[in-house]
Parts: sequence; C-alpha cells; structure tokens
Amino acid sequence: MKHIRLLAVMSLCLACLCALAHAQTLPGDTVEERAINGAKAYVEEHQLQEPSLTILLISLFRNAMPAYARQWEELTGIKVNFIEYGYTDIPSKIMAEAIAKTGQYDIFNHFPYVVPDGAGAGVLMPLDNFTERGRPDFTGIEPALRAQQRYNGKQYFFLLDGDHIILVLRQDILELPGAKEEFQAQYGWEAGCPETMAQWEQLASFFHTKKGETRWGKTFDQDLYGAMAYRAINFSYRHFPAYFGGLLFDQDMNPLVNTPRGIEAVRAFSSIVQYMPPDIQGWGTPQIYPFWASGQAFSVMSFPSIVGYGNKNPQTQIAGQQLSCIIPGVMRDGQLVRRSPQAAGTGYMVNRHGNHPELAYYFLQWFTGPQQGDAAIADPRGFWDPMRRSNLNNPAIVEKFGSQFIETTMANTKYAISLLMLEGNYEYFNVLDKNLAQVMQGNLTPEEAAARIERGWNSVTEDVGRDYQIESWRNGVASGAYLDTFK
Amino acid sequence: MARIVLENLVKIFGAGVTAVAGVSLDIQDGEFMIFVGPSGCGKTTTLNMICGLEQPTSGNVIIGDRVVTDLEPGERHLGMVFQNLALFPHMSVFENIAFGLRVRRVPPADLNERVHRVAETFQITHLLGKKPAQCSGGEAQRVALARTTISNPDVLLLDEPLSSLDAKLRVEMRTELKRLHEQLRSTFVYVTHDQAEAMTMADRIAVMQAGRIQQIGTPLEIYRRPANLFVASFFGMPTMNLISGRLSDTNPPRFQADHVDLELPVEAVPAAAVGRDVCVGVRSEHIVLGAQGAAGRVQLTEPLGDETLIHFDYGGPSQLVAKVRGDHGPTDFEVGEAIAFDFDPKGVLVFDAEDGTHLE
Amino acid sequence: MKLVLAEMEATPKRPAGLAAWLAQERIFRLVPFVMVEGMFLLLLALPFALTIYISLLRWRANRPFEQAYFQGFVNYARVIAEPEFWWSLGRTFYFAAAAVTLELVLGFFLAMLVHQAFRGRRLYITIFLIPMMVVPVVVGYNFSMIYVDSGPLNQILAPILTPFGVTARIRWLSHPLAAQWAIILADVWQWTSLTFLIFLSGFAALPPELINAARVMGASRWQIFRRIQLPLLKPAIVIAVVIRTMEALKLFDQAVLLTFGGPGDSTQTIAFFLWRQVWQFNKYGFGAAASVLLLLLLSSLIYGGIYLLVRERALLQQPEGRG
Repeated sequence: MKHIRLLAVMSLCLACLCALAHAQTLPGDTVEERAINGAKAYVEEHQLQEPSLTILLISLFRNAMPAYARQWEELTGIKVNFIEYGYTDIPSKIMAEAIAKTGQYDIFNHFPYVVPDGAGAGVLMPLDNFTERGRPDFTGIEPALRAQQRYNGKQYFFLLDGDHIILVLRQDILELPGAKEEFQAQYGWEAGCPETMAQWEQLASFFHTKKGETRWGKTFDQDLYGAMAYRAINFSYRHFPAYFGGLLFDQDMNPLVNTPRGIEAVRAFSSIVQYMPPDIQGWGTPQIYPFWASGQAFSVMSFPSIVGYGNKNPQTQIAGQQLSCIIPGVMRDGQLVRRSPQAAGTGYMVNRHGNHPELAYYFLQWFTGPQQGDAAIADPRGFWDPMRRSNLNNPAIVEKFGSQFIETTMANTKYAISLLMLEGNYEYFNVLDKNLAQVMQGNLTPEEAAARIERGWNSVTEDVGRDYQIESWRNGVASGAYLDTFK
Repeated sequence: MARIVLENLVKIFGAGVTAVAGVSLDIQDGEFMIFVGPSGCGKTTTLNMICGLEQPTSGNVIIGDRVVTDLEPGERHLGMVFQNLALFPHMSVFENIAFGLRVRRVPPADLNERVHRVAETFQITHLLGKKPAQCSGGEAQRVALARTTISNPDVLLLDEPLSSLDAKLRVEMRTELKRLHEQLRSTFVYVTHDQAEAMTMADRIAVMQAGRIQQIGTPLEIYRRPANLFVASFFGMPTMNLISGRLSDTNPPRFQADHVDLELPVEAVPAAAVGRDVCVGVRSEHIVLGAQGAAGRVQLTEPLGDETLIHFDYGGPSQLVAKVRGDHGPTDFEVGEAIAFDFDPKGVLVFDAEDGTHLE
Repeated sequence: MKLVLAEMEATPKRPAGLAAWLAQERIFRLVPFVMVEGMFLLLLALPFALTIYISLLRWRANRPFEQAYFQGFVNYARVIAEPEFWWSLGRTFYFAAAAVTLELVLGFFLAMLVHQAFRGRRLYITIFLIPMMVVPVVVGYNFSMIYVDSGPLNQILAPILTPFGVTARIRWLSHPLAAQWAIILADVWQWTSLTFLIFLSGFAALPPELINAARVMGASRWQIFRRIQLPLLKPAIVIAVVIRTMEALKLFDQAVLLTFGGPGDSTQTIAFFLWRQVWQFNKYGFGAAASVLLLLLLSSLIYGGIYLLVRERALLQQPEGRG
C-alpha cells in the first residue's frame, strides 16, 4: 500500500518535472554548449559586470586548472579564481563556510565523501533544478560512480576522476626465467593478475625477496617487497571494503563487520602487511609512489594514477614493466566478489551561500561534460583518472595512460563502489582505521578489532541520529552506489 | 708574611688595548695600599692580576715568598671585596659567609663557630638568617667584609667597595675599614677613584694613569709634593689652581702670565725653573686675597661653613679659586667685587710646561 | 544661591556632545581602562563564553546550527567516558615530559658550552637558533624524509647500532614506540633552540663578580657550577620549563605531519584529538566540551606555571648584591 502511494506520487512528480524541463531546457546540442549558453544567459539576465567564480581548489590541480579557467573565460566572459588548499584541509573549510556563510567560494573541489556532511549542514546546493535545464550527460559512467554524485536522492556532486583502486604487478619480475613455473608448481595456478586477495598474498609471499638473494637468474641488489598498499591512518578505510566485499551495514544500520566474514576481512587485510615495507603504516602517496617507482616492490594496490607515475616519473626504474590488474576479489557464498572502492575521486560542488550558485553550476556542467571532461583526463598536467567508457577510444587518453591500463581500469570500473556516503563518515572511517592499525601492530586480534569497530560505528550512528542514518543508508544502497543490495 | 711584589706587570687585552703598561710595586706586609686614578687607568686590572682573575701578559706577582703568577685565585690565600660586593643573592647571609669554608670542606662544627665569631666581630649576628637583599647597604658591606675575612687571608683586596654607598655611610665605612685594618694587620690593597678615600685611609697611595704608576707615596707626600701635573690636579678639593706663564730670571724672580705679574721669593722657585716656561700650581688655601698683587673680580662665592671658596676671574683662560677661613679675614666678598690676589710662597708648585713634571 | 548661578552663567559655554563628555578629566582617565577591559572581553571572555555555550549544545556541524539544541552536560559526560580523550591526554603528558626534559638538558649544555668565549661563537649561536625559526610544516616535512625506513637517520645510526647486533632499520614512523620518539625528537630538534636561547641569556645575565668571588674563595669549577651558576639560573630554568611545557602540551604539528596520530592512535596528542573531533568529525559541541574540560584539567598546571614565572621574574628583577 505504502509502496503504491509512493510510486504514484513519484510518477506524478516526474511527469510534472518533465513537462517543466522541456519547457525550460537550455539551447545547445552538447552538454558543454548548454552550459555555456546557460552561463551567458544568466550573466545577461542578471546584468553582471565582470562576473567571476571562485573555486576552493585541491592544490594538486594548481598547474592544470588555470588553462581551463582561461578557456571558460574566453567562452563566457566569466573569470575563474582559485583558492588552493591541501585536500586534507578542504573539508574543514567547507564546514566552516557552512557556519560562516561568507560566500567566499562559489565552487568546492573535493571527494564525494564530503557531500553527506556538507549537504546535512546545508552548505552544498542541491543541483537538480539546474540539471533539469542543463541536462548533463552521465552515459558511460558506471552506476556506482554515477550514484556517488547523489545523496539522499539529490544531486550535489559532479565527478571527474575515476579513482577506484587497482592492483599493479611487476611484469619484469613475473617474466624472470623459471619464476612462473616455480610458482605454478607451488600454488597450482599461473602467476599473473590474481583473482582473489588470497592469491595476491600468495604472489606477495612468493616474490618477497631479501637483498643479495639470487632467484631466477637475477641477483637482487635491494630488497624486493612482495606487496604494497595503503595501510596508514586516513588511508586504510579506502582499501578495506575490497576485502569485505559487501555492504558494511544491514538495512537498519547494524554493522556487519563483527561477523565471520568481517573478521576474515580484517585478518586478510592485516596479514599481507608482512610482505610490505616495514614503514607502510606511516606511508601515504608521497612515500608509496616513489618507492614503487624505485622498483623495490613486486606489487602495489593503489590509486590508478600510480601506473602513469611508474611510467613517466623521471626517476622511475620500472617504466614499461607494469602489469595493471583489476581488483582481486573475495569468495562469498562460493562466488567471487570483486569490489574496487572509489578511494578518492575528485569532483565539484556548488556553495549554497555563494553569490551565483546557478552560474557556478554551469561551470561544473561544462567542465565535467563528456568532451571537456575527457580533455581534462587526457591533460598530462592533471591528475584526473579515466572514468567514462568513452575514455577507451580517446587517443589522447590512451596515449597518456597506455591501453593496457585503460582497459584494466575501465574493466575495474564495473566493480567500483562508493565508500560510505553517510554523515559523520570521517568518524566511521577513523574508527575502522584505528582498529585495523591495532591489529597490524599485533595489539588486537581480528576478533577484538571487529567487535570494537562494531561498537565504535554504533556509537557514531547514535551520535549522528540512527533514524536519519538509516534513511541515508537505504537511499544510498538503493541508488547502487555500493553495487550490493540488502538480502 | 704577605709582602706583595709586582714585577713589571703588563696586561694587554685581546683587541690590543694596553690596560696596564708595566707596573712595579713593593707593598709591605700589613700595609694599607691604595691604588687611585680615574676610570680606565688600570688600577682594577692590576688588582685583578694580584688576585689572579686576570693573567698578566708579562711580569710577575709575588705574594709572601711565593710567585703566584700562575696560581688560581683560590690558591693565593687572599680575600677580595668586590665593587658591588658580589654577595650570592640565593644564599642566606650565613651561607655567604660560610661559602669559603664550605668549599674547603671545613668540618661543620668548626665552620659554625667561625661564622658566628666573625659575625659577632662585624655585629651582624642578627642577619645570619636573612638573604642579602634584605640587608641595608651598610649591613651588606659588613657581610661582604665578614665573608672575606673569615678565612684569615694574608691579603685583602678591595675593589671600590664603598662606591655604591651614600656619602654619609661612605665616610663612616672609611673609619670602619681603617679600624679593621688595624685589627687584622693583614695587607690591604684597595682600589678607588675617590681621592678623599685614598687620602683618609691609605698608608701609601699609588696614583695610576694610563696603565702606569705616576707616583707612590704617603697621602701627605702626594698632596704636598705631587710628582707631576696629573697627580697635582687629581688630588685636592677644589682642584689646584694652575696658571701657565714664565718665570723671569730676575732676582727676585717674577711669575709672568696673562694679566698676572707676581714677585716670588727666591726660595719658592726651583733653580731649574728660572727663565723657563712653566705651569704654576697653587692650592686654593695658598692664594692670599688682600690689598696687593694681581687684580681679579669675584665671580662666585661658595660658603662651606668654616671656610668659603671664592671663585674669581683674573683675565686669564680660567677662573681661580681661593679658600678663605670662615672666622678669619674678610669673607664677605661680593660677586663682582674687585680684588687683588697673591700666592703664599710656601704653597707654590712649579711644573715643567712641557712634560708636567714637578720642578724642585 | 544667586552667586552660584551667576558663576555658572559666567563660565564659557562648553562644547556639547560626546567629545566634550569624553574630554572631562575624570572620564578621559578611564578611557585606557575601558579599552583594556574591552579587549579582554572581546578577545578572551567572549570566545570563552561562546565555547562554554557551544559545549552545552547538541551540535554536529553536519547539521545547520539552527538545528542545534541545548542538552546540558551530555557532551561533558561523553568526553569523560571517551577513553581516547584520556589516552591522548596521557600521550601528551608523556611527550611533553620526555621532550621538555631533553630540550632542557640539551639546551642547557649547549648554552653552557657556547657561553664560554671562543672563536666562531656567534656562528654557533646562529646555527643553534635556526631550528626555532623554521616553519613547523617544513620541519614536519623534512623529518618525514629523514625518518624514512631507509633514510638518513637510520643510515647514521647503522654504524652505531650494528656492533650491538641491532639492525638499523628503525621504523620511525610506523612502529608505535619509534613513532612516539620520532615526534619527541622532532620537537626536541626544533625547540632545543628556544631553551638554548633562554639559557644563553640566563648565562649572560649571571654577574661575573659572583663567579669571580667564588673563585677567589677557592671554589672549584664544579662547585661554582653547582652552588652558584645553577641556583642563579633557576629563574631561566623555570621560564624554560613553563614555556616549553605549555607549548609541548599543545603538540600538534608534528603529530599531524609525521604520523597523523598513527600508527593506530599511538601518537595522538590531545591537541590532535581536539582538532580531529572538531574539524574532521564536525563534533563541535563535543569538541568544545573537551576543550573546556581540558582547560579545567590543565588550569592548575597553568596556574602553577604562571605562579612560578611571576615569582622567578620577581627574583630576577631584584638588584644583585647591593644596588
């Protein structure tokens, strides 16, 4: 009964909206043209003198972004300014804006995970009214990534970065004479891209080599670590869902981590650390990328951009030697489940307290549009990773990343899932990270950690408001952001 | 026995500044010797070399029968009172006094007894529990003396110990120091820039200037027969009157200078000075104001009670000062009044105009 | 009565208005006080009152402030019940104690050495003062490079440790204990400069006569140090202890930059805990309560510190010997 009524209301709304939308759709054949026309019309309608937009920008993009700002200014006469911060600082700037309401920024540049708190605090503008007129095009973006742009049924975010994690192996090590045969004899499968996390650990164990040893006709003049991945505070949570392979909560927001499956995920997540560099728990990207490029590890699970770094960095020792793999999975009920968390993935949001939210929106639509967005992904100065199916056939993008990588990462996209899109998500993440660290340090057993994580998550849920969280969680699951659905 | 012999002491500081340029001196055992001179004359440096805080560039220090030049200050058996007393602010008076004994590991019972005895001597027993900051100026002075004398040093060095006291206390302390010297009978070496202190306390005075000793002598010798112009003008209040001029070779000789032409008795003029350019020094008490002599005009009178100082202009480059007794002679001079002045022949000192040495 | 009136009329008419009112002596005299009090209210009292107010609200910044509501002391109860708060506080005291002790000892001996006159003394002083002037972010960045597993620090330690059978691969940033010392050492590196400076000025302020007096009295170098210099440096020592302890209890930069509180929460300081609660987790009410509670807990310490500072300052200003 309830369902029927809801459906009726929704279809009625939809009908109304369609009618309205048709009436007000902006002229233009492409997403980008509509955005440009919309922006021009807005400027004209409001008679803006020297219109400008300010972006709170992740400083990583300071070299790439100005070119697009110039382009936008040439197209529309709207100037784009930047205020740059490190990505760790930006969430607090956004939340401060929620309270101060200065209107200092028009556009925020960050990860999707800031959306729940930002939307809850009212600082992010729901963009649905604008999308109706501008009609952006998300075709070719996998459902989970597309769903990540929405929260509680509204669009807040325009994604332009496929940052779901992948696995990269060292082709040259794999192909050392006799290595594959020896591995096959030991583990009964051919060394290469692993199907499961357990297989990856087998690879890591097998290829982990001490300095000075001679194996497969090669004398190793430095240690070769079997594996590398993100295991530091503020990073572990981005990888853990790949080991868990399912929804982290049931439909009533009860954590599912304190279950045999959850405990096994904690154990597997921690176990492979023995083949990683000893400092790995303190390492972020600035340490992991150069270490990988220096050739001291056999495999790395990381953001996709590490492949480009490994090929193009001037100091690299491993150019052309990388084998990109889709994310290994875990066995659940006899089935292989691969889940590649969208670990970062930058995008753009509109400040509700800005002076011209609509104008800001047009920039978002233009910049992340199918053509313009692909141009950015192809930009050698940028850090935007492939995410649309069209990227496979874009020569500039293929040239930048290499076709093996593009094919892998696009195949990987099918398994891409969102991290938690819930208010207070950074606190959920922190609870997870701290307890995983305790297990990796040997202070807690996986069982103890799982119990603690459960307790910690429950207390965050209570603190934010259980009913509210349940609603957001169900909305998120329904949107397909996590691929899985409630049983 | 603590006779102190300084053999040609020289101290040149790092930057090539010569502080002491060859000082030789023989200080007798039990003598109260005072180094006096303007600041920067090298007197404190000389004292520091005696005590060992400064190492001489060359020369020797002999105390008693030991050459102590290379010994640490603590090994020289001497005591020193510093300009600002250098009491240890964080210690009680008792501990200040006991410090020298403590570092020599004197047994506590003995130490206690000695501290109390010396405190009694200096009448500071009631202060023993206090901190130096709680003592008055005179009390602190006595604490410093007690601290220095408790170890019965052969030699007591005092570096301007009275300079921080007010005038009245300073005069009182002079007497006290003098009495202390008589009680202890140890050798005192005392540095001051105050010529009055030197005059009142010293057995002998060494006048220093520019790193050299200008004159050594008893206070009265120094006052009456200063070796040169520097010593002559350094001692005496008010400063000695000096007039540059010429002694004629007539008989009796006449002293001729700007606006001055006075006849001097033969015995007052050293033979060597006759017919030469000289500087004549006359202390204010030896200027006679009367009916005869050169002309002058009173500029200022300073009554001191028993005496009055008369500053008068005689036409020369500077004013002269005469001292007249309050109960004798005409003291009621008035500013602007014309006077005549003459020199008392027995007070006339003649100095070489060129190098300033006293001509006798 | 008439006379008075006449007098009043006789006085020239004064300019009316605020300026005139202000110009009165008895009012004008108060102006500086009003300004000082105003500054106090504006800069100290107002934010403090606001913090207390927020601490009583149920407010996470992921909801608009308009939805916050008063909930009494719930936040305080939560802070007290939060083991991480106490853990971080304990960590902080441990870091502060270790770092400040090392800084004091090192700073003292460096100052003692440099205090002696020798060639190139100025150069050494300048070099020793540089760390203090380096921006903490840069220090953090540099140390994160130095501490790398195969980095310079381990390479320097290798020849010292290897003979004892210890492998010089200290995991400075990822081993819980080593990471704590990594942060302590980075703090020591940066802030020994300050204690050095305080002690150097302390040594310079020691009246040389006191040392000379002790020398003449036959005290050995050790006796002079132990009985004269050390007690007289007490004000400097207290100042250094108080200033550095207060600063060290706020330890934040290095914890963020080197380890981000990790591994686990082994390097989470109280400042970092507060920062994270407020700026990462948006728990404004909770964070405010924690900081008020922290202030209460530390206020006795702060009070003691200020008391010591004031007392030692008074001692310092007291004339040496007899002025």
